[in-house]
Amino acid sequence: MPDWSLVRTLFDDVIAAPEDDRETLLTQATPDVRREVEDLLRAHEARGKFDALAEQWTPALGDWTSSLTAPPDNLVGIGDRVGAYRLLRPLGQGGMGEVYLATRDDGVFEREVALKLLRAGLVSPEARARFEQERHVLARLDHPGIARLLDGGIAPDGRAYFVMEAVDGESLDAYCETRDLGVADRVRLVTTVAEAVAHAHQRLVVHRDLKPSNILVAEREGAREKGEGGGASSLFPSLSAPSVKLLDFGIARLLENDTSAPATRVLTPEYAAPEQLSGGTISTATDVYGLGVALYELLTGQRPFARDDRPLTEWVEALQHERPPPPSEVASDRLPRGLRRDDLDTICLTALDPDPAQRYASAAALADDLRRWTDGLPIAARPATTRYLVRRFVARHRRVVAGAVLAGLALVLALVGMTVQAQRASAEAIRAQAEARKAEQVGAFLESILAAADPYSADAVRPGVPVETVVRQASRRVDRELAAEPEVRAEVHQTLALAFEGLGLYPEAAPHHRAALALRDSLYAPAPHPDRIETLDRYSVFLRARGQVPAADSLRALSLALRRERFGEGSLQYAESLNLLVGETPMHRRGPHTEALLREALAIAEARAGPESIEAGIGHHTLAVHLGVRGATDEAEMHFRRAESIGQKWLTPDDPLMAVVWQDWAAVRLFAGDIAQAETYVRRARTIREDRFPPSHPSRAEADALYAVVLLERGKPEEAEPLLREAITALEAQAIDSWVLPAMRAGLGAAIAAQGRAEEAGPLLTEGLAEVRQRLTDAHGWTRYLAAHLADLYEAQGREAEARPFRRLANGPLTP
Amino acid sequence: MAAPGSHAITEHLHAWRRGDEDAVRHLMPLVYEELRRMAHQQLQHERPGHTLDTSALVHEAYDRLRRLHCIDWVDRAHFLAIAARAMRRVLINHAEARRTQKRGSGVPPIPLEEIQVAAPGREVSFEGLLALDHALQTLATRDARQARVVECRFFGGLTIPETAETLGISPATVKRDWEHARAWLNRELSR
Repeated sequence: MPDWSLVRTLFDDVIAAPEDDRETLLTQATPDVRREVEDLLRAHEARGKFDALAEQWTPALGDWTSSLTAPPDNLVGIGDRVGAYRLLRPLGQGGMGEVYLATRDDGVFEREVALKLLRAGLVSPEARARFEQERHVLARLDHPGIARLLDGGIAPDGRAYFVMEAVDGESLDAYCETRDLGVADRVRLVTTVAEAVAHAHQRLVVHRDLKPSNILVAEREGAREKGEGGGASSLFPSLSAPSVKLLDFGIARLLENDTSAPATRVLTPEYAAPEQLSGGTISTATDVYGLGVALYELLTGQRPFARDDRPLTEWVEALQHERPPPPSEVASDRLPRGLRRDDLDTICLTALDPDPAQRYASAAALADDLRRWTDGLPIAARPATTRYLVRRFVARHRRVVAGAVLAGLALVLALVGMTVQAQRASAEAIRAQAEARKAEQVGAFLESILAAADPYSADAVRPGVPVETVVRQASRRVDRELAAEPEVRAEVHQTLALAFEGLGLYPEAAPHHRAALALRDSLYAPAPHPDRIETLDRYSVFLRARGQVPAADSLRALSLALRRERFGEGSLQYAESLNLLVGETPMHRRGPHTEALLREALAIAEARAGPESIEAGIGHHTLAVHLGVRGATDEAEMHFRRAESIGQKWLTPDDPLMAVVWQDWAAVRLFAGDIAQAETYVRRARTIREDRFPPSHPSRAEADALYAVVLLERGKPEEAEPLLREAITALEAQAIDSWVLPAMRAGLGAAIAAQGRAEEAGPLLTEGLAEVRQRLTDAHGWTRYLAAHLADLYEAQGREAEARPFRRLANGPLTP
Repeated sequence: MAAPGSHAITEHLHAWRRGDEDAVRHLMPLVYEELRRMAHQQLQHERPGHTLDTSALVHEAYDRLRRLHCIDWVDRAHFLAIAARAMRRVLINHAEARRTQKRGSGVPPIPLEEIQVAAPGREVSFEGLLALDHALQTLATRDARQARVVECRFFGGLTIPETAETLGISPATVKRDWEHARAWLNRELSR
C-alpha cells in the first residue's frame, strides 16, 4: 500500500491546482502513489455512496455535497452583488458577521445603505421561513431613533443578510467621552435611547443586545440654528440636539430562531441580562436591563459587573444574584451630591435588578423616571411590581389562544395589533411619553375585556360564546368607563369599529367609526394631527366599502390635504394617501391624471421606503388594478407580479393582503380571457379568506362570486348559480350599496342564461349591467365582460339588433 | 437555578479542557442519554420522509444541557465534539438494533418506533451507517484527525467553522481533511 501521507499531500495539491497543472503534478509521483491518487480523484469527482448517506442523514451536509461543483471560497465580498445591492467597502466586523457600505445597483434608485452579512448561513427551509417572517415585523419599526431595516434575504453564498439605513455617528460612550459631557446631558441621552426602545416594545419587538456600540449618536443638522434662535423647547440647551440611532434592533432574536446555527447566537456577556445567561425568558425587561448597563457605564465609566479573576462560570453565577455597587460608590467624584445622587442610584439599581419582575416595568417607565430626575421631580421609585402591560397582554393572548376557548378571538387580537401598528405613522409626531401612556390605557381597557375570554379569569364567559358577544360588551362599556379620557376613548372606538368590520358586522361598526372621528375632530381639528388623519382614512375606507362613495371621497380628500400639510408632498404618508384616494375613486370619477398620480405615488414609495418595501408593493398593486381593468393587461401584469413578489417577501402566505392582490389579479386575467390563470389566483384568494374571515363576510362573498364567474366560463353555470346567490344574500344583509352587488346580479343572470332560462336571465343582466355601467364607466373590464354576456343572450334569442350595441360595448376600445 | 450535579459537569469540562481524556467518559453518558431521548422523540413525531436533523439535535442538546446544568458556554466547542461522538453512538446503536431485530435473534426487540426513521428504503441507509462506522474505524487507524472531522461533520452536523473550533484546527485544514476523507469514504463504501 502506498504511503498515506504521500498520497494525502499529492491529493491536496492536485485538487488545489488548476486543471492544466494536474497532469504534471501526477507524473512526478511514483506509480503506486499516482494510481491511488487517481483512484481517489475519481471518487472525489463523482457522487458516491458516502455522499448519498450524508444527504440522507444530514441535511446540512446534503446542501454541502450538492454545492460541491460551486467554486471554492465563493463568499461574497467587495464589488459583488447581493440582492439589489453592490458592496462598496467594509464598515466593520462584529460577532454576528461583516458590515459593508453598499449601494443599490439595479438602476431603480441610488442610495447608500449598510449591508450586514451574517456569519452563518440559514440551513433549514424552516429557519429561512422564520427569518422572513420576523424580518417583516422588524421592517415596520419606524422611529427616528431606530435605524430602519430596509431589506434582507439570502446572499448568493447562502448567508443571510440585512440592509439597514446607513448611519453616520459615534458610539454612545465615545460620544460622551470625546465631548466630556456632564451627568445631566448623559442622562438625557439615555432618556432618548429609552424612548426609542419603548417605541419598539409597543410593537412587541425586543432588542436583546443593547450596548453602547449598538447605539450611535450624531449631531442633528439644522438643530443648531433652531437652538440659537431661542427655541425654548430644545431638549439639549448645551448641545446642538444630538440624535441617537439604535442599530440591529431585534436582529438577535431573528438569529435565535435558527436552531441549527446557534453559532450566531448573539451574547455579549458583560452586557447580557441574567436571564439571558441562564437561558431564562427574554422579555422587554431584558432591554430595560441593557439600558441600565448603558446608563451605569455612562455615569461611572465602568460596567456594573466587571469581569474579575473568578472563573467564568462563577462570575456568571454571581450575575444571577448580586446587585452591582451603587454608581455613587464607584464614581463619587463624577456624580452630583445629596438626594439627586440617591435617586440616580435608585434608578440604576432598579433597572439592573437581577429579577426581571423587579425592574422598571417598561423602557417607557425608565424614560419617565429619567425625565423626572432631569426636571428635578421626585422619581416614581415605586416597587417594580407592576408588570409591563404589553407583556401581560401577550402572555394572556397566548394562554387564551392555547386554550382555544373562543373561536375567532385571535381575530380581535390581530386587530388590536393592527391598531398599534397603525400608530406608527403618528409616532414621530406625538411625544413618545404621551403615546406610551395612551397605548397602555388602551391596552388596559382591551385587556379587561379580553379577561372575559380568559378561562382562568373569575368572570370568564362560557366556552362557545361567540366573539361578537365579547366585542359587544366592550362596545357598551367604552363610553361609560372611559368618559374622562377622550383620547383613549377615541382609540378604543376605532379598535371596536375595526373589530366589527373584521367580523363582517358593518352596521355595528358604523357608530364606532363616527364616534372616533367626532372625538378626534373635537380634540385636534383643524390641526393635521396624525390620529385624526388615521381616523379619516379608516372611516372613508369603511364608507367606500358600504358604497357611500361621495361621503368617503370627501373624507379622503380632507385626509390628503391634512397629510400634505403635515408630512409634505414628497412624503411617504402623502404617497400613501394618494394611493388610497385614487385606488378608491370609482372609475367614472377618475380623471385623466389618475394614472400619473398613481405613478407618482409609486415613485415616492420606492424612493422613500425602498423598491422592495411594502409601501411600494401597495403602489404596484393599485397601479396594476387601474391599468388592468382598463385593458392595459401587459403592463398590469408586470405590476401585479411585482406586488406579488414584494408581498411574498414581507407577508406570510396566508395574509389577507395577499388575497387582495390575487383576487384583483384574477379579475384582470378573466378580462384578458385567461381563465386558467384567473382560476389559479381566485382559488388562492378564496383559500385565504375562508381561513381568515367569518362566513358570509363581504370579502368572502366577493371572492366566491369571482370564483363563480370563473366556473361559468369553465362551462359549469349550474355550479356558479348557487354560489352567486349566496354571495348576493351575504352582501344584501350588510346593506352594501356598491357596484359589486349589481355586478353579481348581472353575473347571476349570465349563469342562468347559460342554463337556457332566458326569460329569468334577461332582467337580471340588463338591470345589473346598466348599473355597473353607470358606476364603473364603459371602459371597465366588468362592464365589457357583462356586456358580452348580454349580447350572447340577445343573439341566442335571435334579437340581433338589440345585441349589436352590447357587442360593440364588449369589444370597445382598449382605453377610453 | 442550577440543577443538582451541574457542578460535576462543569468540573469535567474543565478537566477535559486541561487534557484529561478520562473526563469524556464521564460526560459521554449524560450527553448520550440526552441525544438518545431527543432523537427518539423526533423519530416518533416526524412525518415519513422527514430527515433526522442531527445538527439541530446536537445544538438543541447543547442548549438544553447548558440551561439545565449551567454549563459554561465557552466550552461549547468541547461539548460539540462530545456530542458528535455521542450522536454517532446513538445512530449506530439504532442501526444495530434494527439489524438484530430483522434477523430475529433471541435478543428482545427494541420498540420499533425508536428506530423507524421514516421513508421506506431507509433500512438500506441503516446498513450504510454501519458500513460507514466500520470504514471510519479503519480511517481512524490511518488518520485519526480525518476520522474526527467526519465524525463532527456527519454525525454532529457541525459546519466547517464549528468543526475547526471544536478540533482546534483551522477551517482550511478541516476543508482539506474533509475533501480527502470524503473521497476515501466514497471509494471505501463502494468496495
